[in-house]
Amino acid sequence: MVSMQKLLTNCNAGILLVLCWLAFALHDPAVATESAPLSLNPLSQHATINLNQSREPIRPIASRSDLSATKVALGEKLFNDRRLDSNQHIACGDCHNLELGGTDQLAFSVNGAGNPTRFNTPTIFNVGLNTQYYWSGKFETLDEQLTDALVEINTTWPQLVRTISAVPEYVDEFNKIYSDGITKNNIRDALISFELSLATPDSPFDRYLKGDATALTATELQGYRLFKSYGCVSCHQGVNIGGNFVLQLDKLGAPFGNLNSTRNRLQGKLQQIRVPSLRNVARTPPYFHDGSATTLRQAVSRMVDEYLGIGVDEQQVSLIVDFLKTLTGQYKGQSL
Amino acid sequence: MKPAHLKTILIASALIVVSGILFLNSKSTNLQQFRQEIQLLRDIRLINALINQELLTIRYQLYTNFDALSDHIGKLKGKYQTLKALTSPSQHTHNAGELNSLIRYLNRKFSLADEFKTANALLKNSLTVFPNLNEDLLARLNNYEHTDLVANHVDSLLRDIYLYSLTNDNHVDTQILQKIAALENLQFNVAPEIAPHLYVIQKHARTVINNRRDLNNIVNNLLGLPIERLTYNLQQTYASHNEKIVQQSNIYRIILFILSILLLSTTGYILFKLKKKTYELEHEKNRALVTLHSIGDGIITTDANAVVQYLNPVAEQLTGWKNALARGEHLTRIFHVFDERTNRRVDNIVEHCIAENRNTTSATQSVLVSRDGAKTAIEDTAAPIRGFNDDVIGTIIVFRDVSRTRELSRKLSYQASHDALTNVINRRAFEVQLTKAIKLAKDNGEKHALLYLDLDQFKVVNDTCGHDAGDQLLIQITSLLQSKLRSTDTLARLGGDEFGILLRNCNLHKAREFAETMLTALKQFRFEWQSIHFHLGVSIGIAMIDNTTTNVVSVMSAADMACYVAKDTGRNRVHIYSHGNKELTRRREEMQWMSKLTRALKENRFVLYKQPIVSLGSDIQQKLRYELLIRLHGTDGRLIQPSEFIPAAERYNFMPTLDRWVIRSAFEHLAENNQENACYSINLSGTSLNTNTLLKYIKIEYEKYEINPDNICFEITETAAIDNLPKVARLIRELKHEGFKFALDDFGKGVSSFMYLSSLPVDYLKIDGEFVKNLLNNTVNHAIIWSINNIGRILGIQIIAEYVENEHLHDALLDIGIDYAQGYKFGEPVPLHDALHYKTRQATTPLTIA
Repeated sequence: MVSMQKLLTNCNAGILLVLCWLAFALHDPAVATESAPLSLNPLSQHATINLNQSREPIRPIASRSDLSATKVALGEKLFNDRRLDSNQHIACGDCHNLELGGTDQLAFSVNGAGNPTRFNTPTIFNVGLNTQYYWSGKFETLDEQLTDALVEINTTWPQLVRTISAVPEYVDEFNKIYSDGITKNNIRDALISFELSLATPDSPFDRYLKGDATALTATELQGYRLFKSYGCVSCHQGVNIGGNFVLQLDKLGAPFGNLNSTRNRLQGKLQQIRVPSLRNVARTPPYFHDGSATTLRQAVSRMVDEYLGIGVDEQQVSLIVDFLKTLTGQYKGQSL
Repeated sequence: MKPAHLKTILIASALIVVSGILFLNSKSTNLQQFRQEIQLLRDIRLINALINQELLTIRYQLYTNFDALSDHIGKLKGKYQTLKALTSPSQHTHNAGELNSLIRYLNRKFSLADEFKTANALLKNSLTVFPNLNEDLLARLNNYEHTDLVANHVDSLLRDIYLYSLTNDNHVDTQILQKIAALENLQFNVAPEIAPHLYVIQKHARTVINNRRDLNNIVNNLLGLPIERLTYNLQQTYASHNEKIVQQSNIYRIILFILSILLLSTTGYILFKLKKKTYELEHEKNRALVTLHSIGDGIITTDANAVVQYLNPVAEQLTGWKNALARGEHLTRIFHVFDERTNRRVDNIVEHCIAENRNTTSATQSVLVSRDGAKTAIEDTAAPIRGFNDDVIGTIIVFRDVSRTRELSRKLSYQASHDALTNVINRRAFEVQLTKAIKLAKDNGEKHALLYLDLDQFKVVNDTCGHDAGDQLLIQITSLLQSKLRSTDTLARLGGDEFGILLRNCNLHKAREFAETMLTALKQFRFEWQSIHFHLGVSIGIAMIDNTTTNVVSVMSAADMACYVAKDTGRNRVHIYSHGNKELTRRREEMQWMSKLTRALKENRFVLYKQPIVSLGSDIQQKLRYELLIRLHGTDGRLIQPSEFIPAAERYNFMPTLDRWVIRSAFEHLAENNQENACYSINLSGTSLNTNTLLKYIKIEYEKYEINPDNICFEITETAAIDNLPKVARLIRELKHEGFKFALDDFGKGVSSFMYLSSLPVDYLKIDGEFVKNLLNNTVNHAIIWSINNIGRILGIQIIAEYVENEHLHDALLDIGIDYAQGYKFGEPVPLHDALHYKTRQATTPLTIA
């Protein structure tokens, strides 16, 4: 019977289909059995990460090449746009002035509402190289810090979205770059892209680190040695010469210098302090959380005095200052 | 396999398979989750190891940076967040404790890492600054005598401290403390300007040692966190879970696979069965369709809303609709049925059928009008088609062409009510009309006239020219009569040459006028047949129908009687019925006799009597002769004489029947009893003689009973003989040939002509009683008798005298020389079965013949 044959063929096809499905479904990538637990021998050779870097305490900056130019441009626009402020007085760029070393070179800034900020405004340059943000180091991502910064321009994310959405050019630009137009995430993305682009490579010291022996003068080099031997480098280290370390102030022992007074001064506002980056430090007076040191010399002196607790003479301070001046990098091909 | 079971199995297995798939899907989600978690734990473990390594690297180097460490810590914090998010209570209850511990430890790691950085900074700071202090000291030691000692001390201490700080070597511990102690001592032994510097160094050394101790503690704490162990354990647990689940799900999968196979094969089997069933059903359906197609009746099927679904070829043909077109139409569009008589549309038979939920047959005589107007007489029936729950899901209408049947029945009906020859209505139909007329008369006081017409001399035409002529005559008369009628009058043929006319709304005067017109017309009417002309006449009786008329029978008999009177009183005239007419009364009585006689015959109440016929001569009687006479036992027991009923019998043509009865009874009697020397005379009436069948009948009975013809003598009255001369002559001839004897009765009474005697070869003559009675005092009679006797003697015919009542008559007759005599003198009639009763008297005197 023809119909019988047809039926059998159908049956077979059906069974085949089922088998195929089951084959796929049954496939379970076996979970690899775990190796034995790592021994706790600190000198074991179980290194799996090769950072492939020298153990110089300071590392040169590499400029990022993974940022989208359009996003950076949009971010820059937003960064300098006073309309983002609810009172339309200030933009991010007013306090983080790229012309002034990424700060406004004031002890305290004035926020959008016309009130002074709590702390001295840190530089916006190389902000992507920090691992913690804010003077107390309480933010661990740029996102968090950005959300906090909205307070300074007296706005909230929803408000910001509305403000930006009201501007047709922004609508256009956002739609060009982002498929979902103007959203919190996209605004953040654009701004942070811009922030991350604010690297200042090719400072003289970086050039020296990269191997250019002529990048530093003898005095500057001497200053660097002093910087190291005095122990500044134990906190101001890493690629950003700081910014990756939160100092626990209550650990600072009494026998160490005048830290008590420092602590007293700080503990009103800070229990711990994020070690600031010294890059471009020459361009970002005044110094300290309260902008109380107006010159580098003053800052270095105080630091030596309070943090080292040793007497350091003027000449040595000058050397260190000279060294510090070599930390000024370049932005968009121009030295700051 | 029962369909119910199959269904259950199918549904059950389908459910199982579906739920299995869903279950496995959820399981695989679990699996995936497990895998993710295992991967997470792996990552945590890895990063943790890296951090630990980095910590140690930093720890044992003088100049380091925290970039790598911060990087790792950052990553670990990310994993930490993921881990926190993953610990939803539902899935990991058994691991919750460990997971929470892990989270706590990770947290601790983070905070310890921060502490590490600070402690490390402090230690490294304190270490790096040491040489500067040493330089300071050395500068001041320039002029001191113990410079070298001090310098060496400090140098040695510095070296030791460096070693101590930057390695894990704890042996130097005590050494350093000793050296510091020594330095302390030195303090007191050196110059006062140096002592503070020494003090600073000593103090600083202690600070370094403290810092180192702090840092080591932190590092130990960090490394001591059982993160490695926990993650490993958790990984193992998850892995084993994973395996278990994979195993389970594999088992489930296998089961599911088997079930799927089962399901598939069951489905396949069911499909196969279904296919087969469908095929069979298709076959059956085709058979049914072919059957429907071939049925000779028209079939229409509809659904429960009388929407047509199927027409078979006969239905297509009769309705003029093709099946394809008719489907989906309402029945009333296709099936136009009208009542034949009212010409009104008949109710939709399907509606009745569905409403009453039973087979319905059309009650009316229906006519189906096809699409192109063709009409067909049909009989239709509708039957409901029932579904599973006995509810009506449709109907089937069966109808057939009954044109022929109806035509036939119409014809039959027509023939039953019409006369075939003349095409006017017959007696039965006429009586129906009369009934209606009578009712109308009763209800509305209308007056109608009933005319009863009897054609005179019709028989003459029939006898002379044959039946064809008679028929022609009737037809012509019918058309003549009809031409005189109004449209409201009715003509009917009631009998052979009898007609009835109902004149509606007609009074007596008009009726009589009309009757006279009829008379005149018929008088003037000439019937010609084969160049013979006939003059005709008609006797008309009129009876009026009014509100006193009781019924059809009465008015018909009234008209009939009136007609009879008209006939009796000379023919070719009109007589009007009125109550109390003697003739009519007599007629009525005679009519009543008819039923009595019929009953009597049926009830066998007729009896035969015999009266002896005595030989007057001296010859010794060879035979005992009797005349058979008929009597009737009435229902009241009275013996009824023939004079009472014979006239009625004659009038209503009952005589043939009676005569035949007599003949049969006589023959029977002869056959049953030894009657060798008896001779019975049987009277044959004129009406009997007129029938064509008498001869045959006698012959048949003769053969049947095997009698001796010698024992029978038939008596025929003279008048009867003359009336039917040819027939009678023939009868006599033939029967005589057989051996029967004949007597001519009541001779001399009527138009006696001796001429006839020659053509009637009778054996006896019976002289009419009238002559005999007055023989003695009437010489004419005497002469007549005498001459009759002479003639008879010459012709060889014997003479019998009737009504001989006394001795004197006897003598007289004897004198004349009459052969036989019959009368009370010789015996009264007695029942046939009585013993022979015979009176004789031997003649003593010889005959004197003149």
